[in-house]
This record gives sequence, C-alpha cells and structure tokens, in this order.
Amino acid sequence: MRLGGWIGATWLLVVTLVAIAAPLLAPGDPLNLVARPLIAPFINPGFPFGTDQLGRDVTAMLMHGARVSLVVGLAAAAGAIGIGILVGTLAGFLGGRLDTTLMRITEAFQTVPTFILALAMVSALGASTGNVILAIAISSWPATARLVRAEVLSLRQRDYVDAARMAGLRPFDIAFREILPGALHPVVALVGVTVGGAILVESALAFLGLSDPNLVSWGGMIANGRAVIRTAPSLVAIPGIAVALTVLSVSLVGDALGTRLAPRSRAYA
Amino acid sequence: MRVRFRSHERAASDVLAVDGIDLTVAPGHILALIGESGSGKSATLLALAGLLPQGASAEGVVRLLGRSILDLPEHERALVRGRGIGMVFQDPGGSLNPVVSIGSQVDEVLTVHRGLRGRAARAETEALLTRCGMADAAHRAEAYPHQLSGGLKQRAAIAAALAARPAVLLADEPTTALDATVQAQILDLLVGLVDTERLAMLLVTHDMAVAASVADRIAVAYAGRIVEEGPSEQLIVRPGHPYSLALREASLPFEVTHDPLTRRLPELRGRMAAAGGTGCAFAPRCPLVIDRCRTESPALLPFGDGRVACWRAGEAVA
Amino acid sequence: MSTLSLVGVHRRFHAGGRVARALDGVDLSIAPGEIVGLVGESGCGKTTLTRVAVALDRPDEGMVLFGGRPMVNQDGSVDLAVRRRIQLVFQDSYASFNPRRTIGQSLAMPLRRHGLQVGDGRAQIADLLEQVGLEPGLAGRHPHMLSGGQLQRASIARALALQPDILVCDEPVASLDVSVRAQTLNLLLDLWRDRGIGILFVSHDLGVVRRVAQRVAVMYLGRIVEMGDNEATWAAPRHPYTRSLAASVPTGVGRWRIDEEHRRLTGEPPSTFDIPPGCRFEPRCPIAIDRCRTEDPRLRPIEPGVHAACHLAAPLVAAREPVVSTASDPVEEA
Repeated sequence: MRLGGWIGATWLLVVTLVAIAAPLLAPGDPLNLVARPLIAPFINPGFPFGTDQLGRDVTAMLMHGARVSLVVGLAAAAGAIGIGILVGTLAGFLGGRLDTTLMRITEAFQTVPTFILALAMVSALGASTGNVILAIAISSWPATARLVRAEVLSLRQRDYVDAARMAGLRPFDIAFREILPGALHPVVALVGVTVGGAILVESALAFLGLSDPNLVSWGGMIANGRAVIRTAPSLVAIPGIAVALTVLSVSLVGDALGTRLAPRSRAYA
Repeated sequence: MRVRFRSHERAASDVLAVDGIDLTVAPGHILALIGESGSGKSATLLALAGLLPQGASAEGVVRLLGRSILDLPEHERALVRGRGIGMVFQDPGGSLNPVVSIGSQVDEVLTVHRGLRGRAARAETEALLTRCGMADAAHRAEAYPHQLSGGLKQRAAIAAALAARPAVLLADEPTTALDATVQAQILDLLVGLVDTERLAMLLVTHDMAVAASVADRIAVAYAGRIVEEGPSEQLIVRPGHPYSLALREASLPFEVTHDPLTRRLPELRGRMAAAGGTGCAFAPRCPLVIDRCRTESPALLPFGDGRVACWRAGEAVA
Repeated sequence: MSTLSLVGVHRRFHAGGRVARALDGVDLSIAPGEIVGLVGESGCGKTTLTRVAVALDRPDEGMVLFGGRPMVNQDGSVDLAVRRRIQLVFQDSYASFNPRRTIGQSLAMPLRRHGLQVGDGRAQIADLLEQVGLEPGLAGRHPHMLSGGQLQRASIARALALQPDILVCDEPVASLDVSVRAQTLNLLLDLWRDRGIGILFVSHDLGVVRRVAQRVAVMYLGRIVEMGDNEATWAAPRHPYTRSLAASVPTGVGRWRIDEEHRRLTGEPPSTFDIPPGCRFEPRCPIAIDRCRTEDPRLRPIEPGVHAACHLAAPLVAAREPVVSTASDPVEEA
C-alpha cells in the first residue's frame, strides 16, 4: 500500500479509537456547560482545545462528534453503495427495458445535487440521525450504480460468463457470483469518495441545524463557531480540520485499496 | 547487396533472447526464419530494424550493403531503417496510424526518404499501392486504416515499407492474422515484389508450410540460436535437426501423417528452454539425445548445402 | 447418446439499421462418435454457429435439436439435463476461466451445479486433471499461472466434467504453439476414441481440420457450401470456394506457384451485411455463369456422401480429378 494509504489509515484508526472511547475519555454529555466560555486552545491542560462561547468543552465535543460523523458517514455510504451495487448489477446484467428504466431513475437522482436532495429529505422527514443517513444514502447511490453497471456490461461479454452458462448456472447466480465480484474493484475507490462525501453532507446538514439537536457533531460545532469566528477562530478551525483530515484520510485509504485490489493481469512470456 | 549479421542480445533484467545468430540474405531471395514463441525470432527482427525496446541491447555485427549498422547513432539508424530496411509487421492495423489516411502515410515516407512532395508524391503513392495489388488505388489512398480489411491494410503497410526503396524487407509474421485466401494473396505479392524489386527478404514465421512454399532458404531458431539452416528443399525433405523434423510434422498440413487407426499425430513433448544454457537447448525434448548433448552445445556445422547444430545431424530422418 | 442437429438455422444481427445475416440457412448434424470439421474464414459465421449449437444463442429461424427434441424451451431456458450433454471448448481458454477463481473452483462449478460433486470434489477434480494430462496440483492455481497449453487442457477437462455426448471445439489449438498443437489434438482424439463422443471441430486452419476430421463442412457467408468426407473433399473439392481455399494453403516446397491459378479469387471478401442475390460466392467465383447471379444454389447431394451448393457441381465421371485443374473450364453438367 502506498504511503498515503498508510497515513490515511493511521488517522482513521485514531479517529475510530477516539470515537469508540469517547464516553471514557470525556464522560458526561459533551453539551454540558463545564467551564468559563472562550478559553483559548492549547493553554489549559484540562481543556486542551479550549471552550466555546457557552463554556462547553471543545475537546469533549470533538471526541463525541467523531462518533456521529463516522457513524453517519459509514452508514450512509454503506447504504449508498449497497443500493448502487444492486441497481447497477441488475441494470447491467438484465439489460433491455429494465436497464433503461433503472438508468432513467438513476439519472433523475443524479441531476439533483446530493446536498439539496438530502436537505429536502431531512426537512421533510425530520432531523434525526436515521433520517440523515437515509437522505444521504438515497442521494449518493447513482455514482456507484453507474460504475457497477459499466463494469458488469463489460464483464458480461467475457467468455467465462458463457462458461458459467454452459455449466448450467442460473442468471441470478451468474450475475451475483461470477460477475459482481469482478465488477467491484473500481467501487473500492469510490468508497473513499462516498464516505468522504457523506461526512461532508452530514456536517453541512448539521451546520444548517438539520441534524439531531441532541447530538454534537463536527458540522454543528462549525455552525456554532460561526458566531464568534472573529474572536475565537479555533472554534471553527478545529472541527473544520477534523472534517478535512478525516475525509482526506478516507480518500487516501480508498485509493490505496483500489490500486491494490485491481485484477491481476497475465504476463505474456 | 547482402545483409549479414551475427548478434547477441540482452533484454532488460538480462534475459537472453538471442544467443548468437548468424544469417545472410541475398537480393532477390527470401530467407524464412522459423521459430515458435521464445525462439528469439521476433527479437532478431527488432534488433535488425533497430526497434528494440528500452533496456534491450544487441551486440554483434550487422552488415547492410557492406556497411555495419548495429552501432550507428539513432538518427542515422532511422535513415537506414527507411531507406535500407523496410519492415512489415504482423498486425496490419498496428503499424498504420489510425488517424491518417493510408495515402498520406505513404506520401510521408516518400517525402522523408525520397524528397518527393505534393502531386509527385501522391502519384508515386498510387503507383505503389497499385503495385501492391490494390485496385482503384487513387480512391483507396483516401481511406483510413479502419475502413479497410486486413488484407488491404497489409497491402498498404507493404507499400509504405517499399516506398523508400529499401534493399531489405523484414516481415514479421505478415500473414498470420489474415484469412487463408487473403494470406495466399499477400504471400504471392511478397514473392512477386522480391523478384521485381530485387529485395532481400527475411520472413519470420512460425508456419513451416508458409516458409516451405515461398522461401529459398530456411533457418530454424530454437532458444535463441539457429539450429538448422539451408535450402528449403533440403530442409523440408531431409531435415538435419530433430526439431526441424518435428516442426515439419506439426506444420505441413496436407500431408496427413497421422496413424490411420488412432488418428494420432506425432507429438513433441515439453517446452522450449530459455536461451543461454549449457549443452544443447533441445536436449530435454530430443528423441535422439545422448550424453554429449547435455554438456556440449553443438556448433553449426556444414550439412549438405546448409548447416545443422546437432551431434547427430541427419539421423532423425530414417 | 444423442445427435445434435441444426435445421434451417438463421441468425441475424442488427446494427445501425442494417442486417447482418450471420447464419443464413444452416443444416448440420453431429452424431455421437463422429468428428465433424467446420472450416471457413473470418465472417463466415462459424463462431455464431458454435454459440447457437450449444444454446448460448438462439436462432431467429430454424431449430436446434438434440435427440430429436428442441434444445431450448419455449421460455428460452435450457433444461439442466440437456445442458450437460453438449459442452463447449472455448477459443480463448484464458478468457474462459474466471481470473478470480482457481482452476479447481472453476472445474467444480459444473459438477456442483449438476449435483455431481462428491464430497469437496477434490478427488474428482484431480481425476479430471489427470485425464487431460495435467498434474492434480494445478487445481489450486489461478488461470494466469498456467501456460496456454495447460489452460487449453483445463478447458477441455471442464467441458468433459459433465460427460457430455457432444463436444463443440471452437479453434481449440489456434492460440497454441505449433509443437503443442499435436499434444492437444491427440488428447481430443484419445478422449473421442475412449468415450465415443461426437466432436464438432471448428477452425480456420485447414491443415488442422484435415488431420482430425472424418467429415468436413465448409462455410461461406453464413451457409455451408460443401460438405462431405474429409479426405474426399480435399482431394476433389466440388465447390469453387473449397477449391480456392484448398489451394490457398501452403503445402510444401515448390507447389506454391503451381497453385497460383487456383487461388485467384478476385475482390475482397464481402460482409454478411451485403450478401448478393443468387449464389453468394458468385462475385468472386472464377467459373460463375448467368444462372449463378439469379438463383441461389442449395446444398444438395452430388454423390453419396458429397454435398455442394453450386450449380456447376457434378458427380465425378471417371478417375479422381486432381486439385490442380484449370479453373477457367466450367465442369460439365452430367
């Protein structure tokens, strides 16, 4: 794996561990007021990242916020990719009118910008974590679907697919056991982008106040810090850097994995 | 006019592809170089044309028209490549630029190597295409490679190769990718051109039947060396090397040599060894192998009107 | 053991408003125990024919029968029991194996699907590999680790795993080195002899077909233009295309220039998009007459065991005609 992949993986590991251990490292509700407001970061050892304008511990919020970002990011991406793989495989393998119909639907979803669609859905369904995950998943699946469909279309022509038909395998088996595994390798690269995108959308929704108000998230922290950005820029900068690093890391890891898992080609003597 | 070469060659990571090959082609004659994959035949051609990939090198002596060409700097080599040596490749489409009409491609060769331009170049191009068997050359010259069939593309490639009036024509499996009837036409064309233009042609092929039919002399390559070389007639009828015999059995199609009861064909087991080992490279697969074969690499020694590298030369054919 | 028959098979492909008649009325049968060779140049439809013959493709008209019954059901499916009995050896053996699976896994697939796998299948697979002359250890390797010759054998092993009645081989030795070809062909012949299967051997390489087939069919632009006993057909071809084809194959020292007259086919091979009316070979035929331009000759028996689709084909009168005959004199109708 390339160096970028290792760096990204390291950061993600740190974030994951912190997210898991948050209740231990920062017990209690992170939204509690615990100290004097606007303590600057890196000064007070008790509050390494300082406090916000309401006196909440930035460090605690950061750690708990990691949980939301990761959970939403991963769950939404998993949903998007799952739907995308299903749609892409069916469309590519079955072809004909089903393919056309599915592709029209995909295009419809693709023409609406992900964020706007997620925004509309959360506004309509209500601002809970579950709805946010659903909204992001539904707006992000088209890219995966198209990619998978393209791979499936090309693999469908391969002789080994015909060989599977000769062996008597049923279409369903062929699509999902012979073709799909081979079609997944570009999706791995897409995972990075999708997870990163999901985290960003979640942050943006939280920024707009459309995320679960009882949970702290990095986006919410950025929104909160907006009011005092002149006097305490760290309140925006610190969660902002966290989001950026996490998205970047996911991207690097996805990229490295994609390269690694690319199919082996035969060297001709 | 002669092309004589004796070359060794090393590709990147030091794989020896050609381990001392010694050949001569005279004008108006066709020498067929027969070999299977791994024999070094393609590498030999590329070395002659100066088209070896990065990292590969050739050593030895290659003389064209009395002039040594292997060690020339690249820009001079490029001139030799067009004007002294023309090359035809296996994949007819591969050697043609897909975004340029075939007429323009031949024009370009004429411009670079013979200083012809504009209408003069185009007239000569049409003449060349016609000589290469293309009907309606003026019209065809406007066509792009993808609009032409395999046979026509190969004719265009040959015309481009001949445009600079080379002394030598190198052909690497020029008909392998073509249908039987078209293959016959292209081979006819090449034979005709060798006659009329007094070319010296080195034809690389894996098909002994093709070699037997059009070549004056045949050289058989195995694991980077020449194991037999001689007049076609002799090599086919009385092969001196057991590998030549095996190739003949496997290649010549219309002489049915199978066992009438089982229909089985004579077999040659095993795979070609890499070049550069000790002893005869063919020893592991040779039906006539003796101890000496494994330790001493046989030299090419005179055999009839040709040469054979075998300690038991001539014994294969009863 | 049953016979595979193609009856009046048509297969058309549509592209950009035009229609390519890849198979334009083909009748062919392969019975168990016989080796039928099918030759033709590119574009003649032989690959399409192999796919239709093994039910990887459906004809637009006509039927593919196995044991007298249609291979493909009304709904387009093929019964498992029928699938099993007709198998295909692919042209590109490397492409015919899933690169992500080991050879053993690929071989186990048909066995498992047909409920024939015993235990974990390892013993069966080892046995199959040995039957084709491969070490059982290769079962654990992936396709890219095997040579062309080995892959071709593995491909044959897989085709034989289900013990079919009929084996269709699409250019099985085209991509192999000359010295490896004999081994592969002998393997097929041994298997043929031991099991009494029927083989349809499709190739553009006349020499290979000549050496292996008992009966041979020659295809041109979607039709079979000549069919008959292998030796007899090559010794005395009745259709002018077959004659040209035979004369185009390099045969040996010195004969090349003698056969030149025979080879002279004018023009380029037409495509299946533009099949001429009347005889499809007429535009390039050295002996065509007026009737050839208007009337499409059907494949008909000329003599016992000899079929040709040519108005000018006639039974041999006396001794065998040599291959080298003057092409300018039309054969007299009997």
